[in-house]
Amino acid sequence: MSDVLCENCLTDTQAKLEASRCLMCDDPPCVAACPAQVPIKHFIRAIRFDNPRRAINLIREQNVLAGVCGLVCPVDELCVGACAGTELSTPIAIGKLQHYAACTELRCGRSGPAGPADGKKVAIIGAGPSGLAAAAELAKLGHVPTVFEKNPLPGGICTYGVPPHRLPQELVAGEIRYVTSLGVRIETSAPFGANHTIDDLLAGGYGAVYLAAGLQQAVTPGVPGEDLDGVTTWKALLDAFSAFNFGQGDKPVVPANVLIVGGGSVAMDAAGAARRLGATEIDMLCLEAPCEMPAYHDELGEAWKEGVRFHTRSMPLEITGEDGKVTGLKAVRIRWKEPGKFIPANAEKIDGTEYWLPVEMVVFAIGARPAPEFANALPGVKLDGGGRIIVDPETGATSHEGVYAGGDATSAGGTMIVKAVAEGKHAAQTIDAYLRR
Amino acid sequence: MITHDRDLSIDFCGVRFRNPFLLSAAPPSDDLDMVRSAFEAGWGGAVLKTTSVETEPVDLAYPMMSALHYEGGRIAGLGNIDLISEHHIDVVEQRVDMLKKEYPDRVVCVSIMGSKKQEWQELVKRLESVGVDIIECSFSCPQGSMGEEPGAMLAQSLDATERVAGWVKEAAQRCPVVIKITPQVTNIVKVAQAVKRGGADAICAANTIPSLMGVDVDSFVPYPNVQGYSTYSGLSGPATKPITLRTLAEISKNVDLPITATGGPVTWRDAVEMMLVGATTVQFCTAVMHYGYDIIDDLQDGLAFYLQEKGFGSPSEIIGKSLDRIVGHADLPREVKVVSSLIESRCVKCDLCYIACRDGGHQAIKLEGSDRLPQIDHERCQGCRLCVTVCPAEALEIVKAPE
Repeated sequence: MSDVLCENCLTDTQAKLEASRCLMCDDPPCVAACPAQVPIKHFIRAIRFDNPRRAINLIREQNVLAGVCGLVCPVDELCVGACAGTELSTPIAIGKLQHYAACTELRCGRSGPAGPADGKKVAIIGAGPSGLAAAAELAKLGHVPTVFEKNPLPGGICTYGVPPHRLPQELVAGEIRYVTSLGVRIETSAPFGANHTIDDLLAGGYGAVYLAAGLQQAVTPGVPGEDLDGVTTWKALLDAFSAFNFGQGDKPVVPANVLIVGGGSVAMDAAGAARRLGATEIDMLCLEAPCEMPAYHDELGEAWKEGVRFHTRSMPLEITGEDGKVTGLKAVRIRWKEPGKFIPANAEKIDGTEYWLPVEMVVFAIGARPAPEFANALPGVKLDGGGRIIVDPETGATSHEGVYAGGDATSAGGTMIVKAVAEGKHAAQTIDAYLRR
Repeated sequence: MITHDRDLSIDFCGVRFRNPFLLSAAPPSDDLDMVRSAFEAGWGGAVLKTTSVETEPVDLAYPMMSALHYEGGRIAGLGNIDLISEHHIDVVEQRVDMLKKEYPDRVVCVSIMGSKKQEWQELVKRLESVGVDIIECSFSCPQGSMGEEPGAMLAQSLDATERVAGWVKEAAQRCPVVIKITPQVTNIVKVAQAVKRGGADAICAANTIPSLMGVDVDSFVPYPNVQGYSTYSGLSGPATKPITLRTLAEISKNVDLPITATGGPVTWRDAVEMMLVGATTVQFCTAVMHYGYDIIDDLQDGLAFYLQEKGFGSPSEIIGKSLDRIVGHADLPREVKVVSSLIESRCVKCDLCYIACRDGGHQAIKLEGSDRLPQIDHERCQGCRLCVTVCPAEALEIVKAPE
């Protein structure tokens, strides 16, 4: 038996040693900082007390994507950042311990307890973090959830967004196996909205609908030259990269010089994917200074280590081209009109600081929005100006009876996987109460 | 919360425990609400802290706790100069009455101590009349028993053990009688045999071990410092586990009485080890004082998963399973030569095995290569296993010597 369960996983010895440092507070600040309310103290104690199986059971009870979140959660902003042990030495590596617990389960191939399945049918749109979390919780509550996923594989952002060098697909597959072992049915390559609406689903025997479709369309800034050959988006790049990794597509062609526009987590993932597809010179341009970038510090550090060249406090002006192909990007330095507000509307160009970067490809990673046609399938569901679903943040309820939503597709939701999981779980509890009313 | 759904119930002297884990007679069971909390948390039973007749003075001294910490780990051992409970039988009989009404599915035991026959027997009768499930007799308070020579424990005298066990048994009409003994004797088997001769139903093995917890080298006062003086403490906690295991094994192999174990368990694994050498139930104190009542969830899940993985149906199936693997030193097999072997992928190159083997072993480990990996000389290596015990990375193991 291999000591290392999967790449970057702690060994049994390392996990026990790390768990033995936990102070095991009574009202642990780490748990208070966890959107999914994982019983961190108790799962760490289970590892410390020689019971990794209890550890994973406890985590899964609150967070069905235990291993995924162990690896990609911005723990420094959440649980680890709150650890009381920080004042004594270094905080406990909670993410690594959670990942370890998930890997021990993977090693043993255990599955979850199937629910009694005496409840109602629920349709879930999207097999990403929020949809999977809602489906798992509903199954545990005795309902019969069916998840409709437009892609050939479930997992959403875990499968098609976060590239495999950050999130091994074996781990994601393990989480999905766990979800299906609870009695959840996942229909893949089953796009929603083309032929039916939420009302069709509700009329067709589903007691409720949970919308967790995420954001389907990448945003571009609307600068001249976006139609040039060589301009793309994070979504197109990462989708193609994923398809290639799953053997479902050719290797995307990426030139030597690639510029990523954006400074968030997705921009860092796009840079990592571009490098793995053969780019040797990677530039990154964003409005924010390094300390203001929305990417988490470890992601930024990773890009830094991989040799990304940063052009910060800069705004794209125009993509230049020749014979219809990208030759570079013209940008200008900016200052913030108002301090502390890092949005495009608050950026002021600094005259005379225009500069040009010679690149062969420009990847926009500055955000995403719902696909416009998605709205057609949601009659009676109120959307905000950006096309995102308006929900009650407490319950996930939309303006349409029996229809709930969570994750990135909502006006208040998403932004990190663990938050999408928490929203899915809470919405499932609301849906359960609604179905049993 | 627990995450298993197995039946962990077990029978001890005809009393059914929903799981084999109970609180020992100690501070965590010395208050009604505390025991209620423990039962709510899921403990199978509790031995209420040792009580006595109303006239018995209990003169406590504070502070009473001190601990053995070792290399950054807290509470390898806990020292306590506590005495028996300040709550006399009049209070405790009311508590038993309430607990049995509120928690009929939990086992309520009471530990008692008397100074003469009439006291022991009165305590038994009063407790039986309010529905106590099991009576445990403390023959082993580390601060000494009442009625014997000062500072001596009842269970250190074979005669007294047999005689007092007989008194208690004579008074008990209904309840099983358990005698709690001390490991601080020259021959634990003889004490257990005296318990059996006295007619008791079971043994509780074993109480805390008289210890001096340490000395403040600046003030010259040992711990705990009670206004410039100190005394011997009862040592409990993980450091005492090996002594408990030996005590359990010796009794189990020689005396046919059920045993409830106490002395050092923290995890389900500790409890299973105690059951494997003969315990039927396992009592906890120090681990609860350190981590809280909710460790019962860890214990139950751990035992349940262990039984499932090993294919056992009930906890009772593991009792004593290791006993036939304990033999006298002369009977240990010696045919196969064993040596230490390195698992290279785990080695962190800290050299600790080298130091230990050089200065405490057989100079069988060399550090000659530029890669800092230890090399084991199988000619010199006797397989003593010192290196395995010092390795922080679990990178060494004992294997059969290559031909």
